[in-house]
Amino acid sequence: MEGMQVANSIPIRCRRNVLSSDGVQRMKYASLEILERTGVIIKSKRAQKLLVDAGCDFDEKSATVRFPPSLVEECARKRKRSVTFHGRTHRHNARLDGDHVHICSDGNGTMAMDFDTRQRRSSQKKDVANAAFVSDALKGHGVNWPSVTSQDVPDGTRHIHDLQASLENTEKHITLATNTTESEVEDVLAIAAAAAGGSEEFAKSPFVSSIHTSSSPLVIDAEGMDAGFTAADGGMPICFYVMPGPGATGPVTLAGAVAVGVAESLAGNTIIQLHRPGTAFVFSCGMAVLDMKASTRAGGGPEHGLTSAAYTQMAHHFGFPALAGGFVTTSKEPDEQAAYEKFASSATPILAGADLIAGIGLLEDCRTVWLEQMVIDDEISRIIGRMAEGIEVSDDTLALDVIDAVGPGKDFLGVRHTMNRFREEHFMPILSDRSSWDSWTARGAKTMLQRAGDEVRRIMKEHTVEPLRDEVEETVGALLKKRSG
Amino acid sequence: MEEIVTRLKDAVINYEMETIADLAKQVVDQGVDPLVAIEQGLAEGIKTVGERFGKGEIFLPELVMGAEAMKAALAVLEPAVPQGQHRATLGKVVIGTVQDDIHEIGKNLVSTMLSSNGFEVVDLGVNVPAADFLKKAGELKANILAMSALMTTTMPRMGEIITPLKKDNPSVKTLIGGAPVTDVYAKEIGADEYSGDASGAVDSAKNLVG
Repeated sequence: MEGMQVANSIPIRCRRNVLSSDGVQRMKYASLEILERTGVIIKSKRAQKLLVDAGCDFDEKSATVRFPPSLVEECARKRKRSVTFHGRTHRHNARLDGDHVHICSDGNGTMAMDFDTRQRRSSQKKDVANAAFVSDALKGHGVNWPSVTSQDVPDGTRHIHDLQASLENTEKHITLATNTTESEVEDVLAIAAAAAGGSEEFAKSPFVSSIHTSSSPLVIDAEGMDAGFTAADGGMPICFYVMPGPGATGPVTLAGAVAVGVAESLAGNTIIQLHRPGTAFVFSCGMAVLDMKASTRAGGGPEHGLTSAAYTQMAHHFGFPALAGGFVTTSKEPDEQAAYEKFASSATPILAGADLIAGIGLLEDCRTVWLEQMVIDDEISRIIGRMAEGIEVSDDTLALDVIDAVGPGKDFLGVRHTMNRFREEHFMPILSDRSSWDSWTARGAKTMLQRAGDEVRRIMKEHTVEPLRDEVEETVGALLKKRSG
Repeated sequence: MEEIVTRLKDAVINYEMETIADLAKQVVDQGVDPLVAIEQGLAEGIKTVGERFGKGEIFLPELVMGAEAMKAALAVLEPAVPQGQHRATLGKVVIGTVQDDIHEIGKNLVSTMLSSNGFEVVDLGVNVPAADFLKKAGELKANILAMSALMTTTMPRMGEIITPLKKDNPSVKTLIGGAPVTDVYAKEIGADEYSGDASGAVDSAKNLVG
């Protein structure tokens, strides 16, 4: 497409896969066998009808659908081939082409560390707004999944407030998970249309996508699936999020859990493509093990990165973009554990080339947003991004003429080649302090958390976001009246 | 200010190190006072570059290229300065890396930082014997003698220079640095100032002449 940009993304020069090609083949047949032999409980009547009409085996009593592999593979070929997560402004378009990683904030936390009062409290609409605003300014960040949800608003209106706060504070693509019913999706579509200047305009370049989920293992609920149909009809790309946790909602072995996850995603796609062929469908997962001692989800474990990477390989094998969990930690504050868990859980899927990786900004296993953590995670994402870019070998990068011109015993600091290339060749830290002890102490010996706080304040002061059309506020006002009344 | 002097200043700010010498020749050919060209053109330009670096707006390669541009123009303008006239500086620094040590990148950065902050810097290079440091400091009437050492084995050379310097030429202040050097070590050997990095060296040098 002319003028299309791949904004705020990491190009993958040297992919590190976690499954061998034999592993990919076995995983493919395993997921198809799960669908054919074990089947999936599908609670949506509309989905049941579509599947039965297409030739699936259906057990009415248990609502279990068994899928012929040929149907699953045929529907996998019906998905939209190139998926773009459009930004509200053109420069923020995220093209999910399999060769670029876009870092995504994540996703429906319920707590916030208040930046001003330093209180850990329930998340509010202003937290949705602040997190969207800060992430909009981050160079390493591509797509906005509201980090937390608005809990200081009347029941039944959270999805409206979450979307409004996000739209007002970011130009980047918004992927939304708080629209879990058909009427909620209708509200989202109405607001998005107001922002786009009409439903048709929105469907042409949808800057909001919709997240729907399975209930692992192997259950797809009615309400969420029906909401997905409405979203697909409105032109929204569908992210179908599966979370079989190895040892709990999936087999303890990572291969088995990934096979279940892939099976659920294929089932979701089959239903969506039967309903509306050509819908943009994104394989999405967050498969972290259950910690067998603390009985919590261990999102920062090394297994999470591995499942995300393996699932990405399978998504790409079937021709889908992948949204995978990463940047997760169970730590309670932005400390050493948070840093290494986030690095470990994101490095593997980034290097494997997942199209979207969700998780920045949150602590306590995706529960609590810290604005400081958003900028720290951005730094981590840019570091791993540099790792993923690898080493470019060309005449200009080998620099033989420069080496010859400088000659033995001199330095390369004052040559133009250095100035022309250092910015892209070297990772440029924003938060990492590489100064000497003297300079560091002279500047107040600030900790990482303090420096991150300074960066948040700088963004709050200096960053700007393109304003919305006036129609958005009118539409939101009308919907709030309707849904509160 | 003459337009060409402004262009000289901009050439430093824009790191035009390949072409600035030609511009400096034009300055001389047009009969512009070379001291004015140095002080209002080059010195002002490098001051801007140094300030931007200090604020973190630009990076090391840019700072060094700005300094390279300044040096290239100085090479043309300085010989044109009439005998007996001198440009105004914050002070004269004689700098070098001690004997048996050939690691000079840190020393070069300090030179760049000092010259971009208004000091006149005479760089003696690397592997400089103690006698040369002492001789040049006296001959050139240095305000500051700056020394670097990268290795623990060469670090003691600095003390071997400071002790006779204090005796023979007590008005010359000493500034030391280098990877193994600490403020504690600097006190032990009687150095007047120490800096852990190139930016800090500017403050240290200003303290010494202030």
